Amino acid sequence: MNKSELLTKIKGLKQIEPSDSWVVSNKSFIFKYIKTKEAGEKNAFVFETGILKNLGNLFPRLKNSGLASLKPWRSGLAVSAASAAMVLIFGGNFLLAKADGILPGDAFYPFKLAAEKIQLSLTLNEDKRAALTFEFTGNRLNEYYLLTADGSENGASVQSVKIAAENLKTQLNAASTEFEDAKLRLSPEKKVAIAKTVDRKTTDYAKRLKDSGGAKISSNKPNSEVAKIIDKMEEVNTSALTVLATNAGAGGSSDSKEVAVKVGEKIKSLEEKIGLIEQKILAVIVEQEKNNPDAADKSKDNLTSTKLISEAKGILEEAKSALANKDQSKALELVASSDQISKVAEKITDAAATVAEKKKENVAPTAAPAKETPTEIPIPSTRDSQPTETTKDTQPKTEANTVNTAVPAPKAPTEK
Amino acid sequence: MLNTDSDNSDKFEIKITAINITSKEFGRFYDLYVKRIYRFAYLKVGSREEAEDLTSETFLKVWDYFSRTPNRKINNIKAFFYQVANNLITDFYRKKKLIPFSLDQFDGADKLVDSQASEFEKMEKDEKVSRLMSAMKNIPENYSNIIIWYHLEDLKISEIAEILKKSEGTVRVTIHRALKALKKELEV
Repeated sequence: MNKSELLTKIKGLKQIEPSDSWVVSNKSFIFKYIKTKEAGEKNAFVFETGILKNLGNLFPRLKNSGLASLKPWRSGLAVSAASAAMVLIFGGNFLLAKADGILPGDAFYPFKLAAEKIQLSLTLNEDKRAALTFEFTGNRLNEYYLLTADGSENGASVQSVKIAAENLKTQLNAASTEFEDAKLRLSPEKKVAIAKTVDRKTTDYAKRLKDSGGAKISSNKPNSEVAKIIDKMEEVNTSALTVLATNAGAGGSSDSKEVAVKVGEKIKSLEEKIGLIEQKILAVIVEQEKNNPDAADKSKDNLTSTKLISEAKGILEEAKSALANKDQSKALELVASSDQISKVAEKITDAAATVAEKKKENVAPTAAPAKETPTEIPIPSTRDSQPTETTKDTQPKTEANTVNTAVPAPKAPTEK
Repeated sequence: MLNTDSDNSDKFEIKITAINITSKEFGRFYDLYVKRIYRFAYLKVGSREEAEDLTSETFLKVWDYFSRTPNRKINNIKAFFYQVANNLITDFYRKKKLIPFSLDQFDGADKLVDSQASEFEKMEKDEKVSRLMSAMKNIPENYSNIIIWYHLEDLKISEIAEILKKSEGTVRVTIHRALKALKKELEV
């Protein structure tokens, strides 16, 4: 095919056009929007569009089936859709009023979630939407609490608790996405306002999770869902603090000091966490020494985790210097980096502890030596490639940045 | 007030120094650009329903932008519409976590083409057109955008540079590479 034939083919795509009826009805819709805005009747418009949008969210299958076009600029089912939505909204208000007592596993629970979706759909301001999603995260957290009260799961089924944890995680991820979106679009003042809310809420939620069973779960089962939720809360919190640090002028003069205090607290908390990991490493070495006195302190895993911890501590010192120099953004970046490295060290240590535990169980004279289970753990390739969420999530797992805890580890890439 | 250089709808060019447009003037924008924006959206998402929604959202966003920032200068309104549409399409894929359309997603693919079918519907069934759309899907997104804007919608290089916030030289090179990539894809 030569160039002119190709260009002719491309020009042929000009036949793609919307239907005339849609062009007309859509124009009428847009003008209605403009008129309503100009007349200051925003609420009435929001009510209408919100309902219809919301139905699309609630009944994706219906939408996908092609039975209904639920966007506000589609007029076909508008009247009936609006009527159905009225029922849902008024029912939703009732449900929201009684929401605290409705938990996963209850017959009304799906309606409670639907009512929240409606509330979210009716909120068009991005900052308010983001705030609302964190409010809903709080609701999921309360549900999780109610189901796991007294630590005995309060008679709730294991399945319900699992659903509650999963819902909490999903809602937190949604809230995080909403916040990240809002960060890109909002003015500095609004960004600061929402970041303050996010900071306050995530601090509160993470504290509540840590103070209750979450902390125990976190320390005993590093891979548990709740530990992951706490990690995510802290990640979102760091993101919010970064917004406050980089936009300190936009939110009033006192912001900078408040952020500095919070960054200081983060550094302190991470210091304590690193101390605990160091203790864990020591405990593993002691355990390994009991099993095999000659090999313990030479274990590749121990060396790797010790080096990583040393690296994490070094970065934390740099974070302290950055904070002392009033560079809070840099300090937060370094804290996130140090935190990630320490998490890897902790994972390696936990895996080594499990292996040591197994060996201990097999120490009986007739027992065969315990077979070590290789566990691949990603190691950050360089500390400079940290600490954003994206780099963490998308970091490719390659041979160069993984350690096999059962076989000799490759040279730790973080080594200076 | 709206200042226009020409009333020729196809070669329409608007330079706005201070946007304080009325709804009537916005209506003219709608008439001029609705089909173009729809076509762009359709070629990117491959679904009529989604293309309609994205087109509507584009106009609402642009209106909101005008009403919120009345004194903001926009050099080229057409480029601005495409820029807003492009951002919405990016958001669409990010939020829905969809990969760009496949032929299976095309609305027309499994629908009956009856005697009342429009030229557009018939075109959707055309194998050559399907192949072209499929090839556009397989080349990088910035290449397909540039092909649509330059070769299909006849945007000027300066307008594309404005949308992409790139230099005109970069756009020229990309146009050349995009067409080459499309040709290669069609020959596979």
